[in-house]
Amino acid sequence: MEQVYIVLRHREIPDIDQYETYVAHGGYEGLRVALEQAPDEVIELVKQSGLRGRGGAGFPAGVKWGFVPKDVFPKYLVCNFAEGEPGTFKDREIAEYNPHQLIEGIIIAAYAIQANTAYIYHRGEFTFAAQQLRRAIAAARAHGWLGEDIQGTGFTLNIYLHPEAGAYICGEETAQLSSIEGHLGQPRLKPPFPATHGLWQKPTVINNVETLTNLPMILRHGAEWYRQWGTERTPGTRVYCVSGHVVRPGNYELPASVTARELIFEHAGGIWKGHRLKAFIPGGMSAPLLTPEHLDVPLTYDDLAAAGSMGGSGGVIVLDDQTDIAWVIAKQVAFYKHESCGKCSPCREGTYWQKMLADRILSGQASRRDVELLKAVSDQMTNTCFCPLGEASRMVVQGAYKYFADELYQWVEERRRAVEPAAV
Amino acid sequence: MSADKVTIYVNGRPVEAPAGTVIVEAAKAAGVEIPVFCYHPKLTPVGMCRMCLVKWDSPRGARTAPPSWTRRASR
Ligand SMILES: Cc1cc2nc3c(=O)[nH]c(=O)nc-3n(C[C@H](O)[C@H](O)[C@H](O)COP(=O)(O)O)c2cc1C
Ligand code: FES
Repeated sequence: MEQVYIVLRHREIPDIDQYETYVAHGGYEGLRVALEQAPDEVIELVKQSGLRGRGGAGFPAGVKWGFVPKDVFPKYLVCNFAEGEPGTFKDREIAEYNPHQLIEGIIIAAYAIQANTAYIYHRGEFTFAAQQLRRAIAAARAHGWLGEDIQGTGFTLNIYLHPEAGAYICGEETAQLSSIEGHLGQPRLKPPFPATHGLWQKPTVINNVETLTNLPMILRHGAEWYRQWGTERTPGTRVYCVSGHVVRPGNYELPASVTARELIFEHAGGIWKGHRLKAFIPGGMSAPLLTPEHLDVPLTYDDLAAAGSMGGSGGVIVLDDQTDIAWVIAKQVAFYKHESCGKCSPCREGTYWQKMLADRILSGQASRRDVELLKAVSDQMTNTCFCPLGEASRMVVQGAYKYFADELYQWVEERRRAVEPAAV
Repeated sequence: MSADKVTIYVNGRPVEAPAGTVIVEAAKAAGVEIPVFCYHPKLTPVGMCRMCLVKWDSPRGARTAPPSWTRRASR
């Protein structure tokens, strides 16, 4: 399969971050199409296109917009540009080099749900992306695409940038809302869902950068055009961020039906240094790992779920056969322990225990019992955590145990023999 | 059964409660004490400590452990 550029259009059109170049290549035409229709018609079109959220859960965007009550004002749109998931770096490339398409997508989504205020919650470290977005917003405003009475339609929209302060949990939608409101970035109870009780308890839609950047092209070319790629249930393209032990890491925008084999071995050039594939993580670090036997699974949400993992954020992390699984687990749980927000007990205490045990296993001071205990702690966290952060932490450990438990037992036994002199 | 009453099953036993009752209270009325920590009847539910998790056969299939009182009795 060839790469198809729907969101990464700057790869074919240099300087598309300039307003004039963007307009010369059909920029703001999608928005013009949207403004000529009723908001409900825009929602209907996006429903038909089958566009699914790229932030992690894969929820259909049009369906989410449909939950927004019509008669409650004000409404808000939040663009989730937190990009906290380890192994994910697509939103940054989009915002830095194709910022106008993102801004246009935000205006389309805001029009569809009739929100007059939009926030871009961007990762604080992405200063260049923020600068590009600010420039794009200024240009759009100067040409009458933002502000009051957009293109004489009477629709008003203002976009604000809100930098994130560096917490992974603020990528989770309800924690993000709390953070924008100025509270501690911790998740909130659902229900009520943000679609009805979001920012300041008003209807709010939260969408990922890549989701929104798809919109201008869908509006311009229609749902049928978009459905020529991907599968029935995951139409269109996805940007896969390949990292780890491959020859050519990077972002690859491919039809969503591409298999892991094609992505890793053809596009990313295969495993580096002539090594062999040990495992790969298909949807950002929070997705349970898969093994070479899953290479022919198409990287869609449904196929990955059936294979026991998840589509997640599209970050594909490749591990070669020189990688110790004990090291992988220790790295992963250390991240979740550091990022756990401390709100609920299973996650706060569970990730602490996971990290302690994983470090002990890695250091070689552990016994078989510790390997069993790490699994037991992870099993106890199952379905008890407040939000998916803790669930991710136990899922990655359970996923690793599913395929590599023997390696862990072997690991601790070999190391114990090395530190303990044999009994005489 | 009037419209604003719902029947929930606590350990298989039917209990009637006004719609919107938190499950902890409904269970208490049925004589089943669910241990709680961060719940207090005078405060809004926060669901942080996860002590009160119960098994729940939801309308959408069996769920392992939603916090008992943050799900309000319905259906
Ligand atoms: C712990 C956690 C971290 C998340 N981080 C991000 C993130 O960095 N960026 C993002 O777009 N979505 C993130 N999400 C997913 C969001 O909660 C939400 O589902 C998404 O932004 C919705 O947009 P979409 O429907 O366009 O995918 C995260 C979720 C969780 C539970
Ligand atoms: S009593 Fe704390 S979560 Fe239920």
